[in-house]
Amino acid sequence: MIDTVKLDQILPLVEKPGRYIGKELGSVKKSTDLPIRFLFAFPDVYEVGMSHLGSIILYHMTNARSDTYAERAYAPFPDMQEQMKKMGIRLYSLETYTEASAFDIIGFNLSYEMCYTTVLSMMDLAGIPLLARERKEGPIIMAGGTCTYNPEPLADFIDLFVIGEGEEVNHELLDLYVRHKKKGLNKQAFLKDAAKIPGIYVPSLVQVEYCTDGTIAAIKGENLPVKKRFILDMDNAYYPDSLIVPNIEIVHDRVVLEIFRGCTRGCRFCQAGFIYRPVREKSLQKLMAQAHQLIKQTGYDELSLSSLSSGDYSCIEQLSVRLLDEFEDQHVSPSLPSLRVDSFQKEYAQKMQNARKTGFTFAPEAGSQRLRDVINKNVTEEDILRGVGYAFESGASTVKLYFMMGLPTETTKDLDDMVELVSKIREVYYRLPKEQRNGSLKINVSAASFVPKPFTPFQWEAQDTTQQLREKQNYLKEKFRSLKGVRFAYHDSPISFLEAVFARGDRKLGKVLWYAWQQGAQFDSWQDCFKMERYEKAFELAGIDPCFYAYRSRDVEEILPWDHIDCGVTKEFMQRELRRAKAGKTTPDCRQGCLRCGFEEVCVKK
Amino acid sequence: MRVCVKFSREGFCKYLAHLDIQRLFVRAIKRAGIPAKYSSGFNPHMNISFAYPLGVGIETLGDYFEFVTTRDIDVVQAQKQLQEQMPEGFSVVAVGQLCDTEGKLMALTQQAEYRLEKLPMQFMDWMKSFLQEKSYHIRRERKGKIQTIDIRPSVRECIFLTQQSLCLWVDCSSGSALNPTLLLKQAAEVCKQEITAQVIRLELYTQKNGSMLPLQTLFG
Ligand code: SF4
Repeated sequence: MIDTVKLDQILPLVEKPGRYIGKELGSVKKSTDLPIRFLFAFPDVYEVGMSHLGSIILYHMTNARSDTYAERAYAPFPDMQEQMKKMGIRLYSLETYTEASAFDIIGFNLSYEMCYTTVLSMMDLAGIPLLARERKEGPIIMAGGTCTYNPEPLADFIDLFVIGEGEEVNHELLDLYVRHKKKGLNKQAFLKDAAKIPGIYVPSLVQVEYCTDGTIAAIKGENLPVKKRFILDMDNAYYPDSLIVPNIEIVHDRVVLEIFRGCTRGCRFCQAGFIYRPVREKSLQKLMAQAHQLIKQTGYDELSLSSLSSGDYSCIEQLSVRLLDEFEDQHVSPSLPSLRVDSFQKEYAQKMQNARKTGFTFAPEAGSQRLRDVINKNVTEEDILRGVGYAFESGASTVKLYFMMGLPTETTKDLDDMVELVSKIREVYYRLPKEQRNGSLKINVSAASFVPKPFTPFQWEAQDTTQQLREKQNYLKEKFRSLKGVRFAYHDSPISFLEAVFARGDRKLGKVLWYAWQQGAQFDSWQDCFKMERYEKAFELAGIDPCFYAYRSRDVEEILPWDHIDCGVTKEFMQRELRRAKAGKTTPDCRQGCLRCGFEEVCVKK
Repeated sequence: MRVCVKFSREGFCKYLAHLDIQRLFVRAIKRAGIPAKYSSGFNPHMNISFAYPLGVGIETLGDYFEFVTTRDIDVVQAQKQLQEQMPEGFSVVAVGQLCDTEGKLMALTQQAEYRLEKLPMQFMDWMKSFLQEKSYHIRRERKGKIQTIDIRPSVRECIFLTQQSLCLWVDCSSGSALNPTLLLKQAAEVCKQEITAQVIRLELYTQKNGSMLPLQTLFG
């Protein structure tokens, strides 16, 4: 255990000390004398990590085992790190204030590329050697989450990756660990056996060979490719009946109900839309039971739904109506997706009016129909104008619009069309009779820079250069300036550039991460913490050209750094989708007919 | 029915802020199934109001808040139900009914009693000289303006318990209030060294028939 007297001395000196104390209702108390002590480590602050539903589910699931005590640690913010270092306090768990280095296994959640340096800084704060090959003893370091579909940039640091959903494979892994621990743990032997479990990837057992031009010549190893794991039956999958109720306000401070996994729409830029296939829904009964149980146990007064596209849930109307009805007198307000106008029942529409207004958001993603066809975002200008029209009629005067810049094949004409679309939306508002308008119109336009991701049809495409993106930003900024009531916001391009580098990076980037961390990089998704110079220096020290990863378009025959990971959707399907994109052809939602993306066995059986 | 809750918070939970505590009790009341009254309007919410907000870093054995229920409740039962819903470090000391004719808790509160522990010698000496003074002016910034205020009258009584601990009675109302950590800060400035201590609020008082009584006497 860490010295809590010292901790008591530094907590008054840091911002939001409530982040570092634990002691929440619902956090698990157990004997520390169990075969496995497992630490869930989240490479961001408490408020962000506690809002990550997946890792909270796994925390409770792991604690349901009688042989394991799972605890949590979040990344101390730089002010706290400084104080901890001064006092000689190492990274510790929130449940028992045990040093991270005393755990058997530490499991990191990787949700976005810009958290990688924070992983390193947490390991350093724990006093654990960063390089996997230098750790002969001490905790096994594992990682799971969205970014593990291309785990290569972290291959030097992590002992094993879990690819896919953890509900089953985590148990298999812990069972194996217990067996190994009984006979005296030998890390190498354990990792060898772990690699035989489907969905477990041990990078040190895989060799990568390169061509002289820096591309990959071969990926060699046993048990390849590593197939992603996923559960089939959402109704019978583990789901906790109690959650931790945080003592301080977190990002999603409410009951979050996961209604289904996967997505059938096939937007070509969206990684989640492919890696989380196939679609698996929870039944209405199950969801209502979970909603009631969790509201009762937590005392939250808000509830929201989680999925990639909640409006697509097959019983979304019944679910919405029941949530509104059954929680009305419990003072719980559900946040619900805005449904298509034609599917609205009068009564429901009325109730929605009374429910908490979450604001109206639309995501056309691209400005022109041509470009929307390229990315397979199957929404027309008519759909969008009808949607905002309804929003305005029901009293809204603020709408949010999400676009992307730098999409494959984009030209100035597409940007002009974006501006045109926004001005049409303004017209819809000003066509309303004055009495019906609710104050002056505000349109918040947000344009993110497109980042090509692995396991999408655009994984072979080049990203726009930072220079090109800046020009596009300025162009749009200028154009939007003349439209009154329009606020134009864009994400800074250096971060999108780095995301593109690490999302499609190979293991050589481990060096870059290490140097960047040495230059002080961590919490890179926090604007105040991020400094591009650190990465520039790191690329230089590592002798690596980042443009090779971000700006190069790949041949479809090239061996990609993540080719030994199998997300279930076939490469043939991705190539077919890329060809259709280039031809400007859309692909329908596969609920209307299977497109044979690779999950036929599951989908057709259903 | 007007319900009053007396609670304590000890240990690291002292690092929670006032708004956190408020949220925590609203949820606890909801989980306990106590029929609290909600405000009407577009966004109904449960109103709970505290006698006097507690600063970050201070422990307490006697803090209070009040709220209204939609029907009469059994206060003994309510104390048990609420206690079951407390996270580690918090405890529900008592629950009672407040008379409707009584003012708001916030308006009733006049003094607070604190115990300061683990105090360094330098502070004890400074405190003794402080008590000798008739007035003690400090400068502070409020809304961008520098003010000079006299803090000496706010300290009503001080009893030295041991070489390192003392008990303080200070003003604690909207008109005049003193946070004991301000004394630590003053002493630190004078002695030119860091001074830390464990600060525990013991009780809140109201004036009744000429004497100071714990708020709890209003309902128990
Ligand atoms: S297998 Fe067919 S139905 Fe299933 S996700 Fe793929 S395309 Fe859709």
